Amino acid sequence: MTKFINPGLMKTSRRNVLRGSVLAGAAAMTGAGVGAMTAPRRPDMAKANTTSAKLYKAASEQAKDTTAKPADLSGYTRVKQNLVAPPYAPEHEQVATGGPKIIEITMETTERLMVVDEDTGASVWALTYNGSVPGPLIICHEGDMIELTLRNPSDSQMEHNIDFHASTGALGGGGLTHVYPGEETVLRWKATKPGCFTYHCAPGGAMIPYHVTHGMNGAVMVLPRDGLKDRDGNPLKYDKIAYIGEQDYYLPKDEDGEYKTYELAGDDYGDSLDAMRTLTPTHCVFNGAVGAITGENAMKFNVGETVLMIHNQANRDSRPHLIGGHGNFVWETSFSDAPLTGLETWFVRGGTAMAAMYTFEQPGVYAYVNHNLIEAALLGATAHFVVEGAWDNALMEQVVAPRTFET
Amino acid sequence: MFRTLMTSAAVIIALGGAATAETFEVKMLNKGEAGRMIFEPAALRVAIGDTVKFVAVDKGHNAETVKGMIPEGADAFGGKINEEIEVTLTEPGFYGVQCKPHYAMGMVMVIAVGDADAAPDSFLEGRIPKKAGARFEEALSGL
Repeated sequence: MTKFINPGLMKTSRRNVLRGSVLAGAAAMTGAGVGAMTAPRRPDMAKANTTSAKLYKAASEQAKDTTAKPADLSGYTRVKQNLVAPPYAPEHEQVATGGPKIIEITMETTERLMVVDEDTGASVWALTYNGSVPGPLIICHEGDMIELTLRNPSDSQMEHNIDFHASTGALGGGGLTHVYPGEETVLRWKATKPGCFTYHCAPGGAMIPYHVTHGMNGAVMVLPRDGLKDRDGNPLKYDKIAYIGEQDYYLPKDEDGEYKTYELAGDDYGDSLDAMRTLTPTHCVFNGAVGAITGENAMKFNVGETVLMIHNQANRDSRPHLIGGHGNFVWETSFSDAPLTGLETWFVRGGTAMAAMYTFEQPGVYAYVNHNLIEAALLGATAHFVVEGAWDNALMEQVVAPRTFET
Repeated sequence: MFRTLMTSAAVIIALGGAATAETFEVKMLNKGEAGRMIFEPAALRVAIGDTVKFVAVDKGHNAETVKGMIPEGADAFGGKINEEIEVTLTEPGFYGVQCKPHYAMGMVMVIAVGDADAAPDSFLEGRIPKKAGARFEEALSGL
């Protein structure tokens, strides 16, 4: 119903959208419908503290005085981006050709039962974007616009929305995108800052960490229009992307220490609040489950190939390390800053996505881990990269194989 | 606010004379006879000045009024998760109550205060999740 409405061309809608965003921005509550059919829901003032109450008032007055102009979309070309499941990346250009684009994407807020650890049978009613944990990687260039259709399937149990850290205003779009089961909404935002950014569901209050720690997060990569560069401005190209979403789960256990199972998504809400309060994850995994990208599911590369490892952690700090390799170029924050070089371990601030680039020099199996090794080995934060090619004895050689020494 | 409520309740009792204000309990449940994620009862009629207490039989729920679903002049109320709030209802009319995290799953109820026969037309006009809408209609028909 609202799918192809362009708020920029409909003044009444535009005003409603804006008003909704300002209200939402002030008080972390819910948003407005796109279009004129519903009045924006307002935050419950009784609950807001004095400070935010004042902010809310100021923002509300500002909204009345502001006449938002329709966005100028001339010069933009519309394209569709087909999102793919992690650890893979959608088709994209590293260096942008042509003018800025409006990139149309669609995401469904799917709730599905997922096994987190086959050994223990631990499972979770994952809350997802497009059925995967993490949600799909979105790629655009600085100056492009992302136009998202967010659809909540009719058989969902819960309301969902999305907060893009790469966007500006309305709680990152969170205030404008609340959809109940059977509803859809369209949000357009401009990518003004190059870098990797997280996105996540944020329905309000304790539901925010509940949704985020049930898998509802992912990453957007906003590339500079002329691509990635080293500190001297030389272009840097990658052959493949490895998109790693690190997920901390807090799964409730029964009196016997067994993981509890639930009939439907949302049934674990009360238990999950208690489990989250410990701040101690029961699992810390890459791409949704223990072993999701190890063994047979390992990503494959060749010696000489360059990988861009994009790491998303929407909730918690992490410290990736590529065992047997390095971070040749690492952008912990923005692509506007020169990359760090030659790192052994890099840092993922909780609530960010970041990128590290490496060119494989030796064949073999590399483990990509969260180098809190307890989390890597006991909680699940390990991925494998299998690299084929010729061994370089100049870099490393086993001079003597293990043997018994004389005493 | 609560003192005002108490005062008006006292005034009503003093003026009305006969009736004593009652307290009704509403359970917040994961599962009950009417299905999953419910308030029990889902429809409740009380007299002006009566109190409703929300009992957290199961955890992970709260009770709060739905925006636009309370009588004009009435105060919105809202408890935290697992909080057992008691509200004294002094404004006659229809109150739509939700459990915030389970709203989309249809965890709602209706309290009718006083003798009004039907909820105002505006009661179900807002943007309501489908399952909640169905339960609201069911509750209204049961009053």
